[in-house]
Amino acid sequence: MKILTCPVNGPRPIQEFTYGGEVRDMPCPDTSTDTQWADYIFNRTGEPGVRREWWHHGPSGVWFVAERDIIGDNVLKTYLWSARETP
Amino acid sequence: MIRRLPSQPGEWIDRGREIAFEFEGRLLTGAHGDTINSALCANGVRVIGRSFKYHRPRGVYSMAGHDAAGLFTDGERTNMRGDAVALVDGMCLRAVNTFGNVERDRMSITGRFAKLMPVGFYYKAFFRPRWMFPWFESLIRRIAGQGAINSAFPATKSPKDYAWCDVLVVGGGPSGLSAALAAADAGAGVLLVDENARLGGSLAWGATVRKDDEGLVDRVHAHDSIEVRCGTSVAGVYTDHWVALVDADRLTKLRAKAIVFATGAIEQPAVFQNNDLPGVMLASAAQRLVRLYSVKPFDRVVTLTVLEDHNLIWLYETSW
Repeated sequence: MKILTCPVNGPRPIQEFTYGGEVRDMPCPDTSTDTQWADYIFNRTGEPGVRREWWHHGPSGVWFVAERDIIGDNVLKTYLWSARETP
Repeated sequence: MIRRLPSQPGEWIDRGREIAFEFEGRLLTGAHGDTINSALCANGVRVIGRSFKYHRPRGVYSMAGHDAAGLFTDGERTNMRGDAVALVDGMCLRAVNTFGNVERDRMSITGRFAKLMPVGFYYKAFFRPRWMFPWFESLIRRIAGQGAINSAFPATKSPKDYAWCDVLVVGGGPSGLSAALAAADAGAGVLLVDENARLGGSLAWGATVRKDDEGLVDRVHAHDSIEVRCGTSVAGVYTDHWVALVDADRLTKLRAKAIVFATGAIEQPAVFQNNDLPGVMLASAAQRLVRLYSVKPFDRVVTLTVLEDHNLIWLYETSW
């Protein structure tokens, strides 16, 4: 059984969490082309490596970001969206 | 014939507490601390099981729970490993998958046709004519296998437990004991598990003990931050050090922060014709029989070795 560290509640068993998909930037719906929009809606990357993902801790309702290496299923770090490093 | 030796230093049996049990209809006596196999050897039983398919006679081989044969049933539980399961008073045991009894298995007649039966021949031979296959299949299924399941087995509830530790050490031999002590001295809470009834591993049955290893077991038992669980095996290791510990009574779900595997070596068998016959055994099995259970494994012995092996020299020089 895997352990995931919620930034608010600490390490908890994986059953308490729900995967919320990859963190992706939405193109502006008003200005993007149909191709860009379709790509955003329908395509996902299958590339192995480190991903930024949304995760939800069910009992407390916390959404947060996990950086996960999907090759070995290793979670590198987890943090709240507000604590992200902005480039 | 009782093949028990005079008391050996550090033996695991308690001679004062006799255990009566039954094997294939024979009333036998073992001692507290015996496993099924050691008690059978102590009673001079040579054939303890039959091979999976051709019902060749099999004896004690590893005494470490690595044998394919040596599986027993008491009518309720089946496929009990004779090397690992402790003898209990009043046990009524049979070898699994025999026709008649283990000494005179009616299916052992297949041995006479061994030359006609290369490995896996039946996959080809019993396929034609096609309508015959179900008949062959039911025949093979009856001959091969590991005994019958008692479908009237009463439903029992077994407890489940949870545990946590900083460091789990798997194996209570010299390496595991040293690792447990090192981790505990560094401030970690340690859980040490071993599938045998007592700690020690090769310290208990090996020929030589390094000076540094003397007293390891006592130091581990005396240490406050080491919890010892004997008779416990690790049945599975899952993500993030989630471990299933199984003992005679319960399943324990353990979360460890780190795991040390000190499971030791498995002695490899020599490959030669008829190396599975009763009487052929690993040198470590003979040592375990002598040192742990004080059983005389044989009267005369031929040893096969490729180097100056202290264990074999010890066997040779031991006068019983």
